[in-house]
Parts: sequence; C-alpha cells; structure tokens
Amino acid sequence: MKTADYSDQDFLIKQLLESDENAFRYVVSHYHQSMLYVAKSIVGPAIAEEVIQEAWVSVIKALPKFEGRSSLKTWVLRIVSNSAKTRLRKESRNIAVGDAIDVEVACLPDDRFRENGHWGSAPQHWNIATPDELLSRDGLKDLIYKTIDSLPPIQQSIISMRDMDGLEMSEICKILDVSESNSRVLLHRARAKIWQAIEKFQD
Amino acid sequence: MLSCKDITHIASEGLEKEMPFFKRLQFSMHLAMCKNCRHFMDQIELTVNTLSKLEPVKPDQSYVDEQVSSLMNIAQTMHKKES
Repeated sequence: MKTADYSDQDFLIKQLLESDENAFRYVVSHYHQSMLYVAKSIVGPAIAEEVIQEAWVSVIKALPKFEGRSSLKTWVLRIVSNSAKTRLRKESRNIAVGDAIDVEVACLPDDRFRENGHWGSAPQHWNIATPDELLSRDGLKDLIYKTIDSLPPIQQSIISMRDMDGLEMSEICKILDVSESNSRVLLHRARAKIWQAIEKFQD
Repeated sequence: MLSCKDITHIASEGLEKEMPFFKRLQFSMHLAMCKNCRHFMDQIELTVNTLSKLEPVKPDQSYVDEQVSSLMNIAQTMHKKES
C-alpha cells in the first residue's frame, strides 16, 4: 500500500480540509517551531503559545480559501504574524521587532582581529567538505540546535525561515516587519554564531 | 581596500550574490589574496548548506497529541456549522 506523502502540499491541504488526523499531526510537528520563533519575535515568549493557538484557529477557518500563491508554511507564518500583531494592538503595545538593531555591532568578537582589521586568530582549514560529513559528527546536530536556541528570538526566526525553510528575504521582512537591511544583518549575525560554535567543536 | 573584518561583515551578502559591482570587485580581490578569508567564506557557506539540511526541531509527542486533538475539534465544529 502506498504511504501518504504529506510533504506534497496539494495532498496535505486536501487532507487537512478532510480533517485527516495525520495531516494535522504533520503540520503541528513540522510548523510549530517556526511558528513559535515568529510569535516570540513579535510578542515575546510569555504569550507566544497563546498567539499560536489563535493563529491555528484562523488557519483552520481560512484554509478553504487558501489560494496557494505561497507555500502553506509561509501562509501559516503570515497568519501567526498577523495574530501576534493584533494581540499587541489589543494590549496597546508597540511592535518592537527590528527596533534597536545596532548595525555596527561586529558579527565576530574584536579579539579575532588585529588593529588593522586583519585576522589575528584566523579560521583553520576544516577537513570537511559537505553538510552530510559535518552532520555525521556525533553531537554536532544537537550543538547547532542548541546554538539556534541561544540566539535572540528575532535571529532564531530569521535564520530558521531563511536557511531552514528557504523563505525569500522579502517574505521574511513582511512577516516580521523588519527592513531588508536589518534582516540581513541579523541573518548574518546568526550564521556567524553558528559558524563559531562549529569552529569550536572542530578544535 | 577591505580588511578581513570587513569581509566577515559582508560574507552573507557575498554568498547571496547581492553586492554592487565595485564592492563585489573589492570582495573578490580580497578573497583572491587572503587564504584565511577564503576559509571563512567556505565555512560560512558550509554552515548555511548544513542548516538547509536540518529539519526544524519537532515538539514533544504529548504536545503534538494535545494540539492535534484540539485542532481536530475546532475543524469538526466548523464543518458542522457549515453543513
């Protein structure tokens, strides 16, 4: 018997509309982390879970009208963002995402460089050429997840949407209400943090 | 002339090929001369490619069970109202 392929978006939507339990199981398992990052970025961690619940209700209500102009996950994340912003407005709080981003802050510690800006403590050559080789190292996957977990929520959101989910930067900016230049700075800082963690792991 | 520190600042722009022409030229010239920055760029690229292979962390089974049951209830209630 052929197993159901929920990664096929059309099939997934059809099954969700038919209230297939496994389809709901798939979206909760695969979308929850990104939804949580987006909600935390906009409303903070205390009420992020409540925002997710409100967003799920909106998703189920609006699903029959989903037109497929973006991926289902992108559409769901946009709904999370709208729910979070509505919640902020209700509580008369300002949307703080993207505020106070200091673009001058270095992505690597200053002590890695000499006064003239050239490397003092330069990166060593890695004897690894592919992601599969890197991920085959015991403990490295957990280290990457742990490092993402330690990032500020806005960086968690951006790196997971861009590098793990493959969303376009323009879409990410709309979801988080962050300017393109700020989101690029934040994405690069997050990547640099993960690079540093892998570099340390290699030592 | 860009320093190594400058290169580490703009590495992601370099990867995403979104630099204006003269900046790209300076960036490429620096990389041609600097082995350490070539290592850095290769490693940042490998980091990004590795992230693209990772699945998002899945929530606990008990959370998924609870959430799915609540979503199924909402969906079924909505369908009943519609029919």
